[in-house]
Amino acid sequence: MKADDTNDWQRCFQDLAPKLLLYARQWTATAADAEDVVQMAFVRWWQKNPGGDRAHVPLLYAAVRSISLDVRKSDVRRAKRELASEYSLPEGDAPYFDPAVEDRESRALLERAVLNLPPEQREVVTLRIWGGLTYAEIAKTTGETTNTVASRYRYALTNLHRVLAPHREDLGAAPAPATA
Amino acid sequence: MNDANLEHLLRSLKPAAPSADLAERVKHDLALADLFRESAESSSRLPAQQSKRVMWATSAFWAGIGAAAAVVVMMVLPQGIAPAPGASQLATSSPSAAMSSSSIMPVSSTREWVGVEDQGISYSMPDNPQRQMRVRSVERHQWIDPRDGAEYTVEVPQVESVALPVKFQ
Repeated sequence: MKADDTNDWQRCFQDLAPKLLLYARQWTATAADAEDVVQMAFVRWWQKNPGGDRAHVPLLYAAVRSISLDVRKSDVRRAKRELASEYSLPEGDAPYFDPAVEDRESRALLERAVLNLPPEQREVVTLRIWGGLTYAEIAKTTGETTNTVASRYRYALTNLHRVLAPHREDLGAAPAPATA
Repeated sequence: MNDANLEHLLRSLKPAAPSADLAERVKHDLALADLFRESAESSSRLPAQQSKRVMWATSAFWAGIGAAAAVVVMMVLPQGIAPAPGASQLATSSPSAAMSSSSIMPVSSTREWVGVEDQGISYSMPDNPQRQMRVRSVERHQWIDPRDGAEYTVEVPQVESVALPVKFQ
C-alpha cells in the first residue's frame, strides 16, 4: 500500500467509522461485534472503491447492514431470542454516542429517545442525521422506496417530539442554525 | 421545538469513536488484500497478455516439443562433439578406438536442455506457419584415465534454431 493510499483510507476511515459503528450497533449484540462488522465492510468497500468516492458511501452502509444481519443470523441462539423483537437493542454495552458532550443529561435523554424508536425509524434517523445520507441514498441502502424512507423519517421525528416534549426545558431547545 | 431544532439537537450527539485498534485491524486487512491482489495480478499477467492464437500455438508448441527433441538429437548425434582440443578426437572415436589410441575411457555423455526461447510464429509461408524457437542446451562429456584416475569433462553450450510446423484447427 502506497503512502498516499494509506493517508486516503485513514482520512476516510476516521470520518466514517463512528457513523458506521453507530449504524452497525442497531443489529449487533455488542460494540465489539459492531466493530468487526465495520472492519469487514470497510475493507470490502475500499477494495472496490479505492479512492473512497463519497458517491459510493451508501453502498458502504448497505454492506454494514448486510454483514450485520449475516452475523446476527449466524448466531442461532441470538436469532431465536430476537425473533419476537426483530431489532431489539442490547443494553449495558459501550455508549452509542460520545460521552464527552457537555450536557450529559440532555445527551442521555436524546439517546434514550432515539434508541427507543421503532427499529425501522431508528435506522432511517441514524442514516439521515449521523450518516448524512439523502432519502434516495437511504432508500438504496435499505432497499425501500424513497417515499417509505421519507415517511419513516417523518414518523420518527413525530415520535421524538412526543417523547421529548416533557423535557423541553432540560434540552434547552437550542435554535437550529440558519440554513441557506 | 420545531423539526429543525430537533434535528440540530440530534446532530449535537456525536457517534462514539471506535476502539483504537480498529484502524490497525483495517490497515492490516487492506495490506493483506493488496498483497493478495498483487500476487493474483502477477500470476495472471502472462496468460492475460497472450492472444487467443498465441495461446493455441502454445499448446501446439508443447505438442511438438517431443518431435523437436527427436529432431535435435538426430541432428546432433552423427556430428559428435568437437569443442575441446584433444577431446574431439576421443569423442568421435568408438570406445574401443579410444582405448586403443590411449587409455582414456569415456564415462558419460549427456545433453541438458537449458531453456527454450519462443520467438513466435512465422507466417513467411502462409500455408505452412512455423513456430520459431531457439533451444539452448549443454552437452557434457566425461572421460577418465584409468592409469591415474584423472577425470576430464567437456561442456559444449549450443544454441539451435528450431522451426515447428503449426496447425490451427
